[in-house]
Amino acid sequence: MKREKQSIKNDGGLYRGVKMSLRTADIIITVLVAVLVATVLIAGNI
Amino acid sequence: MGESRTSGGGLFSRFAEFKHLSGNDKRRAVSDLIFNNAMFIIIAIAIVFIAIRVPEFLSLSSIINIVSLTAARLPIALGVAGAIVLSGTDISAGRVVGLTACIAASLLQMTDYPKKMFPDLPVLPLIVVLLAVLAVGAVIGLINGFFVAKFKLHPFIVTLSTQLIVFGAVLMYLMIGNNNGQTLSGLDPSYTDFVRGTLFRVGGVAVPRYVLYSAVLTVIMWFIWNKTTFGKNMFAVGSNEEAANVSGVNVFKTIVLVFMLAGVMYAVTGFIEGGRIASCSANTGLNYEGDAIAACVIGGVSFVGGTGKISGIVTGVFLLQLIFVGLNFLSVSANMLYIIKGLIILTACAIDMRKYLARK
Repeated sequence: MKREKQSIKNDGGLYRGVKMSLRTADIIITVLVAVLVATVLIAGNI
Repeated sequence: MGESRTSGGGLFSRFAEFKHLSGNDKRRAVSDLIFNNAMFIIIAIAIVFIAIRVPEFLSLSSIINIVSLTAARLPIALGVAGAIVLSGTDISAGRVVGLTACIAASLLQMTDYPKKMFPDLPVLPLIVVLLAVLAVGAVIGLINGFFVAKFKLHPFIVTLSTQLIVFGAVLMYLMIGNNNGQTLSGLDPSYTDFVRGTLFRVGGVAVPRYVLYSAVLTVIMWFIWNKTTFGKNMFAVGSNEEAANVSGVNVFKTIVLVFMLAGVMYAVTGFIEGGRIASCSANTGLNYEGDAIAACVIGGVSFVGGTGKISGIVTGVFLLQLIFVGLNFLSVSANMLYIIKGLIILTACAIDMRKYLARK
């Protein structure tokens, strides 16, 4: 009888199932950083 | 499994490897470096900018204030970090801090205070009150850990529930005795001195005692994380629960103990906050978990699970407090501060996710 191979690969925790290219992630992070910086500049009246 | 997943090799060997890469690979390596450290880069630029605009930001009293705030928030971050290492979270942290702060404050009010919650109660020994709040924190942690480990419920749902339960408990507790829902104050000097009495002075500026307590707790947590079987089991379960189970790790016990330890750390934070602020209400501890989670993620404790360093957590808490104090110096309103905090958490998590994608 063929023994079933147990799959114990790490599933990525809270990022399980995230399907995204690195480029897309970079774009999202760039946008978030831009919004953060803009918010700080506006909030600090700079 | 292990303390950290950062690759080995010193700076020189990594630079030597970089020199031998092709053009495309070099560009990729530089963009990885920038994006993976984006948070640190932004914070460094912000600090320099604020220091130029407001020179008092880097004065001795300001630095000691930042160190003190870091020390006050470090225990809760050390507790939450355990939950994150298990690829979960703990959003009940802030409310547990509030409950334990209120309990500590109610048991340590001055005997002649007119609005004392328990008028017939003498001022209890600090160790008794500390043990009592630690027990409360441990019980709440036990409840969190049990439901996560036994029912396999997501920690977010379990801790959301306990967050609401604990908040209700705080509101009910504050109605007991003579208090009638009011803010607890009039604390006994033995309590407030124990927490915020002067440890030593640097250039005439007092460093409070709770900085020492926080440092001791950090060393204890470092020991637990790195030198005990429990610590290694925690990273194993966080990395891959199935593999840990197959390797003979008691997954149920590990998860329960991690959440119990977290509960104890929240209780310590509550005890310190009660004495530090000297005025506790139902809003004490509100949103503390947000700052703690942000600090952990900034410091490299990944939501992937099984990754994290105590030094990273300390760095994360310090940098976050540095930014918040800096924003105060820029007269940023409290309302905008909430928006900025949320954006920092979002950005830190996005960067964390990017590191996972790059590894995948």
